[in-house]
Amino acid sequence: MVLKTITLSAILSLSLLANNIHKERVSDMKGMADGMALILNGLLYDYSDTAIEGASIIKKHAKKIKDKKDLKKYLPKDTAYAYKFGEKSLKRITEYSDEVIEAFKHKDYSAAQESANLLLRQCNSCHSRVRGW
Amino acid sequence: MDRRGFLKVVGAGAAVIAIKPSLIRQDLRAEDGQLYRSYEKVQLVGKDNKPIKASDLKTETNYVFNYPYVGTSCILLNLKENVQKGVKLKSEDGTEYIFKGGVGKNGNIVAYNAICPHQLTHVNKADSFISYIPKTKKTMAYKEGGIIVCGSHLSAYDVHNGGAVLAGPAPQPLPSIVLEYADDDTIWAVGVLGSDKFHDYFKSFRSEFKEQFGGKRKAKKLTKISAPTMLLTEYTQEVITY
Repeated sequence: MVLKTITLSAILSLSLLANNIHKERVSDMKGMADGMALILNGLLYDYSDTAIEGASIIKKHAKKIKDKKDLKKYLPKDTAYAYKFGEKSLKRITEYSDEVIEAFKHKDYSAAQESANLLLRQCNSCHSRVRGW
Repeated sequence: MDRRGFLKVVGAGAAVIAIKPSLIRQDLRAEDGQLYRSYEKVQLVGKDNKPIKASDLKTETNYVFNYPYVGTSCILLNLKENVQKGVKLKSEDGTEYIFKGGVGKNGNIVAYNAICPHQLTHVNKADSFISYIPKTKKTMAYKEGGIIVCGSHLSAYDVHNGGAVLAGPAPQPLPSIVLEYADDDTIWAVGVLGSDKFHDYFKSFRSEFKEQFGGKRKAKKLTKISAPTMLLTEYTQEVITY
C-alpha cells in the first residue's frame, strides 16, 4: 500500500513538473513572438522605441532560457538531445537582438531590417529543428 | 615587333599582374566547367608553417584550413574509399557543373567549404556543428557514416561525389575546393567549384567575425600564399555531431 502511494505520488509529481516546463516554454516562446511583432511594427511604422523594446523582450527571454541549468529538461523530450543546438540558437538570437537595438539607436533602418531578418531566420531555424517542422 | 618591344610588353604585363593579381585570378579554368571560380593559389601548411605532405594525412579525419577567405573554413579529407570523377552536380538555381575528383597518389584527397548552403551553419573556432562523420560512426542524418553532416538541420553530403546532397533540407551540394597536387607530395588550393554562400555568410555573422578574426573586413581578406591546416579538434573548441 505504502509502495503504491509512493509510486503514484512520484508519477504525479513528474507529470506536474513536465506540465510546468511545457507551460514555461510556451510562455517564453509567446513572449519572444510578441517581441518579434514589436520589432516588425517598429520597422513598418518607423517606431524606434517600439522596435528596441521588442528586441529587449526577446533578449530577456533568451537570457532566462540560457540561465537554466539544464536546457535538456527545458526542451521537448524528443528533441532534448539537440540542446547544444538550442544553446547556439540562443547565442545567435541574443547577438541579432543586440544588432537590431544598435541599428535603431543609430537610425540605420537598412541595418535594422537586415538584423531583424537574421533574427527571424534564427527563430525559424530553431523551430524547424526543435519542433520538427 | 623587335626584341626590345617584345620585352617591354612582357615586362608591362608582369608588372600589372604583380600589382593586381586579381586581373588573372578569375575564371582561369572556366573551361573545366561552370561555377568554377579561381582564387589565390595557396599552399596548405602545418602549424610549423612547413608544407603538409599528402601522404601524412590521416584517413577519415577532419582537417581544417581557411580558404578562399581568412574567415571561411574548409574541411580537408583523405578518404579511404575511391572518390568519383566526372560527377554531374546541380546548384540551387539549376546550373550544372562537373566535379572532377580528388587529388593525391590515389586521388582520395578532397576539400569542401564548410558553410552549409541551407542556413549557413559553419566550422568556427568556438564550435562546429558541421563535420565529416567517419564510415564506422553513426549519424542521425543518414543511414551510414562516411559523409559530411550538418548537425543544425541534419543535411548529409556525399564527400565521394563532389558534396552532393544525400539527405536533409540542403538545397544544393557543398562547394568543393579545387586542389592541386605537386610532385613533392604537397597540396595547393586554387579555387572553389560550385555555388557558394560567401555573400550571405559575410552578411550574417558580424559578432562572430569580430570575436574570432577582429572584424568582418579582416575575415573577408583573401587567404594568400599559404593556409595553415590543422585537425578540426585543434581548430575548434567543440565538435558537435548528431
